[in-house]
Amino acid sequence: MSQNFKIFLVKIAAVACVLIVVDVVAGFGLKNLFYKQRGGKYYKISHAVKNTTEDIVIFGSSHASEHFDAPLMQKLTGKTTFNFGNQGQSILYTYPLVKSILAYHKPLLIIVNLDYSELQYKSEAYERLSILMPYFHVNSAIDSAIALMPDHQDLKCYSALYRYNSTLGNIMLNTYSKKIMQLSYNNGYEQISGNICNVDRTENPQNEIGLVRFDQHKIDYLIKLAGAAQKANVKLLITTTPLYNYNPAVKNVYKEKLIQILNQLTITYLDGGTNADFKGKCQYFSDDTHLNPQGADGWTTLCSQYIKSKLL
Amino acid sequence: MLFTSVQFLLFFFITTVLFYLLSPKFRWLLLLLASCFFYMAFVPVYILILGFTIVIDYLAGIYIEKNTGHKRKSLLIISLVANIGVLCFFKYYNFINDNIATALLNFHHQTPFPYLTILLPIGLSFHTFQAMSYTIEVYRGNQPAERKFGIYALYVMFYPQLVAGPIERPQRLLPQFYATHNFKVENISAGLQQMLIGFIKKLVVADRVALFVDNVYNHAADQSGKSLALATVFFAFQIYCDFSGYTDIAIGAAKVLGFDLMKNFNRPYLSVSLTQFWQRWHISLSTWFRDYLYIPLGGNRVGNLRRYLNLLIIFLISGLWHGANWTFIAWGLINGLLIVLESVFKISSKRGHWLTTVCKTIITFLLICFTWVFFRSANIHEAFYILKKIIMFDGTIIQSNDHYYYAFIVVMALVFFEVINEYKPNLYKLLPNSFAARCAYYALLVVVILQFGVFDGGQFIYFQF
Repeated sequence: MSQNFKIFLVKIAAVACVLIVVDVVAGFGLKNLFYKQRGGKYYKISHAVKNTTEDIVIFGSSHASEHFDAPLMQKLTGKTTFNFGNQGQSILYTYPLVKSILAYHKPLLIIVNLDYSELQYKSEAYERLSILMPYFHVNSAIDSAIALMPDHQDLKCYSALYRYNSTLGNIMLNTYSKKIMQLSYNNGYEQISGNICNVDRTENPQNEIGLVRFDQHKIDYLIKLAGAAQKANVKLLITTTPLYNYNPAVKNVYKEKLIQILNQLTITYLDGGTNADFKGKCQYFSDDTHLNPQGADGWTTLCSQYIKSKLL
Repeated sequence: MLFTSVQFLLFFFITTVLFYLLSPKFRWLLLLLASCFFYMAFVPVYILILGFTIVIDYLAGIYIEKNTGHKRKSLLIISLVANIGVLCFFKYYNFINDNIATALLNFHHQTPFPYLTILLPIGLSFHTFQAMSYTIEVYRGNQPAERKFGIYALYVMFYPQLVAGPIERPQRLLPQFYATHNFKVENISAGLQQMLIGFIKKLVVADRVALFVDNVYNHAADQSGKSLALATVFFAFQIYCDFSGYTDIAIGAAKVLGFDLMKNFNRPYLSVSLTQFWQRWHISLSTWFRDYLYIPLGGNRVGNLRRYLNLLIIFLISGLWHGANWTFIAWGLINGLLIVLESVFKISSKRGHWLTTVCKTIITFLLICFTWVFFRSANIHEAFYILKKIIMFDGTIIQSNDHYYYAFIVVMALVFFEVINEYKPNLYKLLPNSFAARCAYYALLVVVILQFGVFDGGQFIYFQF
């Protein structure tokens, strides 16, 4: 081995050491900043893994975060409530967070909102689990969710810096921007404005099924979720929030499968997808599947009454 | 296997180690096998198409050299027809068929040709042009025919530049496969540095900016004129960093192995005219068109009108080369027209007073952005719709998520470094050059990639060509 080559190897080793140290140190610094966030999507997850004390906890996608007015539900039920819903998320996100909470806290009720097509395979559902990456190694449930992601993300998460990829902007906005904090510091409830009364709605895309492909991971996670709640002796309510123009006459295999599983597991299910109080009422919707604050208040009120009378 | 994937990094590491461990006489074989593996990682069966053209061009090269007169020309034509035929079939068949179908529909007839569900072999336009340059150079007598089939196959398939160039010439690349590439620390260091820069361009700038651009362009009807204008400017940086980032990784990877590939970009957005832009953007393609099309058509030796026509033909073909869509044809033609106008009005590419230079740079950049609208739009109607909205310049810029802020910051940083590199390169000499300083520099780049990189950004834009 030539002297030159030896020096090269030593330098490569030195650079590698520097990179590892920088990764650890910068990762540590980012971690400290990360947990200082007081709003936004990550704040909800940090709240779930560390300091949940609420009686009612709500999970799901934007159909949860924008449809369940947590402060209103708190007022109507008299029980503290937090909305952990996050945009675009599925049961793959919900289960690890429920497990994280149940590890140290026993809420009175867990509400999980699931769309009719929840059990359909969608690759985006896995990509969106990147939201959990900063919580790698916080607990095994989160780690196994990250392991479901494509491209060996679980291996990449061994880099402390990579875990916090693209989070700096969120950290700055949700730690130092008062405007953002005011918007999102509402027990997790997020509002979207507008209605569809002046919009031409001739199409009805939500009734199209296309090629049927069930997601076995999601089915497994739903079953595990029910098991975890039962084991912890916590009540579980599954909901589907109102839809503007869902046609129940059209066969929906995903909905059938969902209801079949919920029946098998004897889980309480509140189906708002075809609720006549909302269906076709444009003033409640900001688009076909999202309620505006007026609609969200109506739905939260309906849910709160149901919870009070049947579950609490 | 994308350059930005973990699989590629592993593949590259193993190939490099084996390359230097092997005896020099077997290295070409390793590179050929590695290149086959790399290409087959996309769609394995398409290696047969590549193999077909390689065999034809290899034999054509040998027989062109052996023969004289008309036979030489016939062999060249056979080779070119085979290459262009494969390219046309995979790239343009459905496009031509669609347009025939639309035309026939006006006369209440249906096209007799079926629509084919075929996937374009990755990088087909690139290796077709590289293969064509070989047979043309052999025909011209500038390059001896390659006798070793494996070496010729490697010339077409060399994995760092197989799928998106730079489009090399045989005189530059073929001799390098015969040279002994000793392990040189400076090659490894320079190559890795260039790869790192490429990763920054692709992951931190191109894919980051794409989040904003795609969000706006994919919902153009819901966007304001200002958002569309900004997205178009950002797209200019996205495509630049996407393609030049790829090229940097390709050149860097080749450099690590001791090979020199040609420079493909030279800070194109700091050009002061469209003519200069095309001398700095995708240089290997521009020079290919110059050497094998523009000069044979008469080059600058013909009259002005003929020269303008030639320029339009070149840019029309350049547009078609990019993709089988009217948007690319329009993009090529608009570029051609602008170049012709520059020539007619004798707009100089020389830099004068700093204020003139700044104004000319900005005007050139805006004209390029105008052409990118056609490049980025899904169809011609959408392109005109977007242009109309941009001209109205109404509404506000969407800032609903952090994509806008990130995109803005990384684009500003890129412009800063491009300007420094162009006008004040000596500033870098003021920086310390000790080993510790270089370590700090690498560490900073890695931190930037890991924090600001987008790792699910998908493939390189130019792979589709």
